[in-house]
Amino acid sequence: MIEDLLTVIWKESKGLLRYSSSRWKAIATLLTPIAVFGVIFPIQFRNEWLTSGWSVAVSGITPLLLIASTISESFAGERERHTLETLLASRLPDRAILFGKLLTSILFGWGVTLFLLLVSLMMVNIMEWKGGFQIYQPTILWINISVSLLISGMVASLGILISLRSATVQSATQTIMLTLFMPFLLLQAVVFVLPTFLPKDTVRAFLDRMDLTKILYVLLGVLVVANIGLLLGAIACFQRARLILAD
Amino acid sequence: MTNYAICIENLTKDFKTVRAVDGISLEIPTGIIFGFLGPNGAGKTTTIRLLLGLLEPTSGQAKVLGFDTQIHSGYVRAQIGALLEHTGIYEQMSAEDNLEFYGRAFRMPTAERMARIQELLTHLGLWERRKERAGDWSRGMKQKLALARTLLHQPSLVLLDEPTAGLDVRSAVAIREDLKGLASRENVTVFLTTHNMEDAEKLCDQVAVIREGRLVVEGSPDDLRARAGGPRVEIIGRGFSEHALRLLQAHPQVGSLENTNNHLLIDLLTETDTAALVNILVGTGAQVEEVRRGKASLEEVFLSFTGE
Repeated sequence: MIEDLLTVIWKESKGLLRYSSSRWKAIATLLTPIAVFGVIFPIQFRNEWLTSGWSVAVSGITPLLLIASTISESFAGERERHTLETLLASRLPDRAILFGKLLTSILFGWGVTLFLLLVSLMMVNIMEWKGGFQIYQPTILWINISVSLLISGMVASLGILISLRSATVQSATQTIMLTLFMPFLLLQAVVFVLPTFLPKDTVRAFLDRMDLTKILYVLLGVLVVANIGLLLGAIACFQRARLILAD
Repeated sequence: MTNYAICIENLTKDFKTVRAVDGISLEIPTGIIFGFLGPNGAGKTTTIRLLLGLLEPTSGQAKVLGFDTQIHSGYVRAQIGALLEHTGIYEQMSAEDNLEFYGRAFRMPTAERMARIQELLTHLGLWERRKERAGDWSRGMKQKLALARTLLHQPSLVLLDEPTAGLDVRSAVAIREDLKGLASRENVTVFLTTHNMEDAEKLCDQVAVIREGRLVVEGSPDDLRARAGGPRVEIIGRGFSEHALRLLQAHPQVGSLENTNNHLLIDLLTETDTAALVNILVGTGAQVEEVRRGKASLEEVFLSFTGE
């Protein structure tokens, strides 16, 4: 199983950023979040970057953006390019194909995010050198690593689930983006509408009472549950006969 | 005892209200090239998918290399090579990487994999271009690459779904020659679906015709020709009068005849001496320039059995 998994990861990594129309577009896709979140943000936030929740937000957004833009290729891309049936006709087991694609996306999203966190750490130290190397606050570091991993897993599982059922890469990408960004839009609407129903002081008092660390732990719990649910859904949806007939 | 590469018994596959494969039974001996002929939508691709264990039959069973395709589908897929309707080539990857991936997928040891990739690509005339992106290649070259991928792990059985479909004449001839050469060199059983009679005529040792999911006829190409129509004689000349044609028609061995611009096509009931027929014509004052003995082409056989 491990050998088969590595084979699929090898193949997926070969094509990960090559589906873009040009090599420069692929490089831009990779470098943009690193430049914005790894260089510009830490320059702006300086020391606060290592202790506040901003880096956690970036740890969530980065894998979400990276994986959401590439995961639709996993099955919808194979289907669109007529390579899926040949892949399914090979001796590779179902789980190796599914988890190989899933792991490649997770490692890509998580790996780039960890690299970005390292780059931002270097930037803060360059900008705010205090005679010794500063590091992330342990809780923030742990949450950064966990959030980026869990968001990577959640987006990859969701993306695979949608990609398995989509006829084209375009329709898969649209559905993934809509599904992922709908909660943010709803949250924005709530933030916009809430002050009209509740007095501002009540909202502010409620926010002041909130413990950021507790909120993040709740978020981690929600992400773990979402990961398990979506992964089980993807496993249930991966059926060779169904994939062949949808090809 | 005959060894069979494929044994199909009363295989049926329904898709909702459509019966794609209808009670097919076949036994295909090892070491031959078997042609599965049929018009578009006859059930050829569904049969291949059933043989690969990618679809579950509604009833009946198929055994490939002695293994049930439903119970041991993983093992069956590991033992055979398949070139399906589409080449399945990853166009963004190089030709070499395409083979490398499937070599790894079939768990070939590194040294053996490398040697085999070189052997196949050299044989197919693609070795010098192995680093090129496969997407930049012509359709014929991609088909050759797909053929190399199919044979990479030295399967004892290969399933080919319309291997020359959509290719220009030159590429189709090249693929046919490569296939024939590789099949005999590697001693592999080939199950080939096609609606191209030239493929069947030039490649196949045995053929079966499928129509609307049902097996219509099965046998060697010669056997099928004999069943579709008896021997025939073509006579080319001048002055074939109505009288001469009536005399020929009256001959006890002549089934039917057709005269088009002094080109006589005579279907015989049994093998007979053509000299007698020529004598009849010459006796009426006709001039005979050329006499050819022949049989129905496989295309005519196909058309007669599929009712097209």
